[in-house]
Amino acid sequence: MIQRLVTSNPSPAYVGRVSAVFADDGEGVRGNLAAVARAILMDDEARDGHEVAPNTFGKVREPLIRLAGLWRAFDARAATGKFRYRNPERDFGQAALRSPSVFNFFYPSYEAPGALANAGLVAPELQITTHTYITTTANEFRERILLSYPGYGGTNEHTVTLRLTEELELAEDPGALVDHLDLLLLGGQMSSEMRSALVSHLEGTDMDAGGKADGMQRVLDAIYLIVTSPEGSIQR
Amino acid sequence: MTRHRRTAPSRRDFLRWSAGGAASAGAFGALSSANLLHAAAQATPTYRALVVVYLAGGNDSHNLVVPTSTTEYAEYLDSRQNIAIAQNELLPINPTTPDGKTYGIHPAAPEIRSLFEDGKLAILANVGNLIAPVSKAEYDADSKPVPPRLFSHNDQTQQSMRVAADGAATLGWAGAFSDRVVGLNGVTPLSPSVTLSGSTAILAGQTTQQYHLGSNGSVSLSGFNGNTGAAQRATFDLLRAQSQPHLLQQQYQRMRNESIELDDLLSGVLDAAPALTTTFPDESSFADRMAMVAKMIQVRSSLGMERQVFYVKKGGFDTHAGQLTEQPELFADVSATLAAFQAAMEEMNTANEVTVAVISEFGRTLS
Repeated sequence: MIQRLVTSNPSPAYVGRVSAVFADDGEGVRGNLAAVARAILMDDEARDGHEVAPNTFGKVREPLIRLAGLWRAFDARAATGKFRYRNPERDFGQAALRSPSVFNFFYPSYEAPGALANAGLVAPELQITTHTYITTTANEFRERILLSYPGYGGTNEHTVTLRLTEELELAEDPGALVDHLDLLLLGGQMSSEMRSALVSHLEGTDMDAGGKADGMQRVLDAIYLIVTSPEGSIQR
Repeated sequence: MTRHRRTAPSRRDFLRWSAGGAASAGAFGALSSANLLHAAAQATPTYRALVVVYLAGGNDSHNLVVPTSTTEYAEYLDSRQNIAIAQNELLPINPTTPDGKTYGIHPAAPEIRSLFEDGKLAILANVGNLIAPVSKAEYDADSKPVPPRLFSHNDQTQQSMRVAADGAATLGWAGAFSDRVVGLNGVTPLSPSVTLSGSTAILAGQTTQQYHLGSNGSVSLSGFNGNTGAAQRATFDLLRAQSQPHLLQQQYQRMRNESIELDDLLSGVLDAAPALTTTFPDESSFADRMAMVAKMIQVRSSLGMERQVFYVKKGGFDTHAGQLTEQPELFADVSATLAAFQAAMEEMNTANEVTVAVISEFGRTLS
């Protein structure tokens, strides 16, 4: 559960603290999952891990969760009121409730070869981050961002359109726009190097670029570039 | 595995090197010098490939190769009862070294029978995960070490894929093979290890890593067109080149970059390959994957490949009570696809250079 919610490599002490809450939620009840979830999310390691272990704390974000996160961040809606996506497994390697076996989409113990394996670290979600899926996922996000904005000519009743009002208000100020998206998408942890690259890109993009008005292209580019970046792939 | 031919001793060596389990540990030790392999390759500079077909779920292979002689069939029938295949429906085979009993292939796999009769397919019976040889008596008496967590699918799958079945080994036996032979390939970003079915422990190597290929070939990034596309791509490329201190980000970035580099290499090569006359079965994702393996073998020279190992998984073999209805479909797919693959290899004159090994994490008990 810690792996699913917080970090792929929790310390044994963290696991111990959470296990203790499972055994006894403080009121003599065993197996109180709400208490367990609270313990997982509120533990010091969950809250400070990114400072204590800045290069290893956290987890790779599953594509389905990233898509849901994108839709939540920008209050996305389709005309039908539904979020239609028939075969996510084709693009993401996973689909809700369609795990290929009882062993989920990836093993909790998956070790990606190279620096991670050498450091004895697991990264379950990387098991489905294959050379193919990493590209099909980026392509899907391209559609869900660059082709899902208000006013897009190809919009139909099923298109889940991102509501971008707040972002458009910041389009004239690339620094402010990037800072805002940093908070929404990266928890305020964007590296200065990445921020620099994005601000440059936006400054070089006209307010009416792409045949869109009011800096829409700037907003879309920024979101797409963040979501598909290495920094955008993890949660910490 | 395809039977070796006396005219190609290096092929026999290849099979011995690539077989997993305790028996080959000595062979790996002897081959720890890459120089030895280089010398061998110069003597016989031909292509070699291994295709591992994994039947996931624990195939009841006693229903694929079934004894048909009276006493033995009676034992089989006694064990398999209402899911036993009728004796007169089994397709008889004629081994070149008969053992006094007779056998037949499941009726849904006529191509497997034909391949066997043509000397193109061999059956390795009584193969499984072992720490050390153990008899039934020793197993019952618990007097010999056996692999941990027998009967557990994920454990037995992992053990069948690693260089040892002790539950601790992390090296895949095919990955170990790739590590040894990568030096025989040209200078290329493409690994000797290619999986058509996602991450697999069998291709876990120390120096080589598996490349993930889809059944439609490699996938290209879409978009980056129009007036805004070039600028988008430039910044996209900048971000995927920035140094990443975080190990997870680093790994993600590596996959991203490898994926793009290999797509650039592969898509041109695969698109240019002329279509084979051999056709693979329709409506079978397993056949689609094997067809892509055949295509990759077809373009091996353009990719600088001398040694390759491919992995293709077909799932669904944990048939339980549905075995009577499910196994025939599964076997039919495997049988027809193997036949098509063999035909494709013959069409390309690579049949003597490619071995297909069909394995599963365990068989089923005869109780």
